[in-house]
Amino acid sequence: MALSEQEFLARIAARRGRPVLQAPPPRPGHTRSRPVPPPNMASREAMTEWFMRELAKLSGTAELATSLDAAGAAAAARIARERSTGEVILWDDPIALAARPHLERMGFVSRVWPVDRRTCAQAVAGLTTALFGVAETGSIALAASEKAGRLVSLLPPLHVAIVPTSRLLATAGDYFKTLGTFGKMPAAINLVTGPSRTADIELELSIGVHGPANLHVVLYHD
Amino acid sequence: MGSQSPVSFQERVRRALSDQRLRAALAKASENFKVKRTTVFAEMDDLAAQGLTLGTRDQLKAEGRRIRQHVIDHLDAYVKQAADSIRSRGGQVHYAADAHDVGQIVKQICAAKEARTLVKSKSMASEEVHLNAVLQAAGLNVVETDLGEYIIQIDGETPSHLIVPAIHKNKQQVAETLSKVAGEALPADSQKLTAFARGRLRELFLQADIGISGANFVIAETGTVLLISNEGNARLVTSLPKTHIVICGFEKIIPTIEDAAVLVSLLPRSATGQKLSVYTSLVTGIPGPGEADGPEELHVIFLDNGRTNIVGTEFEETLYCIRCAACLNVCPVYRNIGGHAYGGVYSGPIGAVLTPLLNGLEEWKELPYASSLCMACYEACPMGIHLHEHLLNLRKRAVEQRLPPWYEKVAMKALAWLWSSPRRYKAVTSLGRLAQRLSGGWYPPPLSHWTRSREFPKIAEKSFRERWSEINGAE
Repeated sequence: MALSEQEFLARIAARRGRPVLQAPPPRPGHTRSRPVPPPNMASREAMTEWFMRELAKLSGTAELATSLDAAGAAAAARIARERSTGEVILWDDPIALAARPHLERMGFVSRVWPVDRRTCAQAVAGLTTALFGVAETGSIALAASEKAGRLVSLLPPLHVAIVPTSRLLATAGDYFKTLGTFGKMPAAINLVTGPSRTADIELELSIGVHGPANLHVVLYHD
Repeated sequence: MGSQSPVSFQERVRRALSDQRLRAALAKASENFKVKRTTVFAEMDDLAAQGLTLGTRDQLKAEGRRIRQHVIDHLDAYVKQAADSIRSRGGQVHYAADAHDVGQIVKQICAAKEARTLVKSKSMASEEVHLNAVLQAAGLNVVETDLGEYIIQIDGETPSHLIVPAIHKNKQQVAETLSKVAGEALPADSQKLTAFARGRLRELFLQADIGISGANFVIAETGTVLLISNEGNARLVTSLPKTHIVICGFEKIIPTIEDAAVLVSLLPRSATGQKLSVYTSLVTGIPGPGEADGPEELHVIFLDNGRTNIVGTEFEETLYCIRCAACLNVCPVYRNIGGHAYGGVYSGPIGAVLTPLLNGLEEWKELPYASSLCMACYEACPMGIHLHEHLLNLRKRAVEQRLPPWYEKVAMKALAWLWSSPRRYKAVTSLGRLAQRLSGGWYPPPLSHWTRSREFPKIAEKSFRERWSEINGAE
């Protein structure tokens, strides 16, 4: 029956003809890099425009609102284009909750996370706040917490995320480097790049397999 | 496990080559991926020139290779660090020497959780050990959830491509397959078929007791499992069931999150020509207190299954592989015969090297010959693995282990003797010239096997030695 850790490590070390190494040695010439904003992408406007252009290429949609409240209204309006009534699940986060009064005014039932999985699966939309946006790829990063459930951006057919433009990073490289500065990783963090897709049948693109078929990002300058 | 199918390699190739539909699909897919990959890397090189991204393809390739090499050089230390990090975040780590161990570990977890239904996202390591068959034999319901994998699981088939597992089926065939599950005739429409599978699988996701995934990378410093998917099934597998089991080769480790910047910049670009796949998920341990979703238990199974035997050999760099399938898409052999002809879990150039290394050259001695040695695989590989050299070295090994047929060995011995003296060499060429003239282009077996599809070169009227002595006027 299965090997113990000591046996497993000893087998590997034996191939090298040495005892088991207790810790990885330093890497020659390797320094831990930190994200540096690229010189000619310093302006938020340029990054916002880049982000929106990239997301549009992936069949996602994005818009720029003038304030947090306007972003909340825009998010609600996007959901209203999908269905006129029903439940919307929101993260318990001041930015996502900016959409709540607008949703209620439009006649939606807004439910704040946590909710049970069946409720989440039957909702019209899930509304979240991105921890980061990545301009190069049109991606948004979603970190799970007790106030931010994983299922909100996953089970409903429409996912709307609100992103303050101060959270935009230039490249996917910057995203991983920024995570490297975290003391502790969240239990789950997802970088979402466009709506769920597959090309498994004759390489024909189908949008919306297991995740949401519709992804809308509302940005605002904070 | 990994034993040969009862059908011979020659026969598998013959079947693949006579399947015109398969060959058309392969040509379309591999060309499509090849063009997309080239385009997306050209775009990256442009951005790099403006200082807007991490680096050019060549720079990232060199850095990615350095990272993988460092890990493989110190695998024991990195396995230990990864295991400690996983445990510090509430996960459990298991070590499996082979297929039997993986089956035992997973079955024990299932028994402890009284699990009945398991949902799976893609894990090549679990394919390697034929886990589904083992679990089904134990009465468990295991469902593949990647759309392509789901389709082939219904028909009891194996993947024919690393990234597009059901590439060998057309819409009509997929419709027939899914209609069996639906109990009614579904139309041959990819959108409608996808929607059907989504609905069917969604219900299973909501009920499943255990989720099984692979890992694209495991980050040693944080114990994070990195999963890449386009469909979102990997997210569902790691979010809905109460128990999450990760099955991966222990060489999939990278040191830090920052290293993921380099490798994730290379992987989707090389695989599908995407800058990033739709979901790049980082799962670290079990959820914190108060988190209402995510698994309560996390088990990571590090699989050996022949990998340790590669450590410290001339084939070691094959462990740098990140399973992008770029080498399949550019391979003139793969593009014609597809994945099933290789007979193992991995196909294309990397399969022709890995399958004999992991499962034994004796049984898989034909695979290293499924290559024209054109080096397109080496060019395409984002880790710069010298696949063509490994194919040659495996052929050499096969010869050293006396695996070729007896007549080839006798012929080679005879040739060595004949050609080792100038007089004998001269006699043989003269004789050959005469024989060629008399036979009129007809050759007896076994030579005729070779000349069936090739022209035998005509032996020159005069040899170099003869012409040399004519020019110099002396013998």
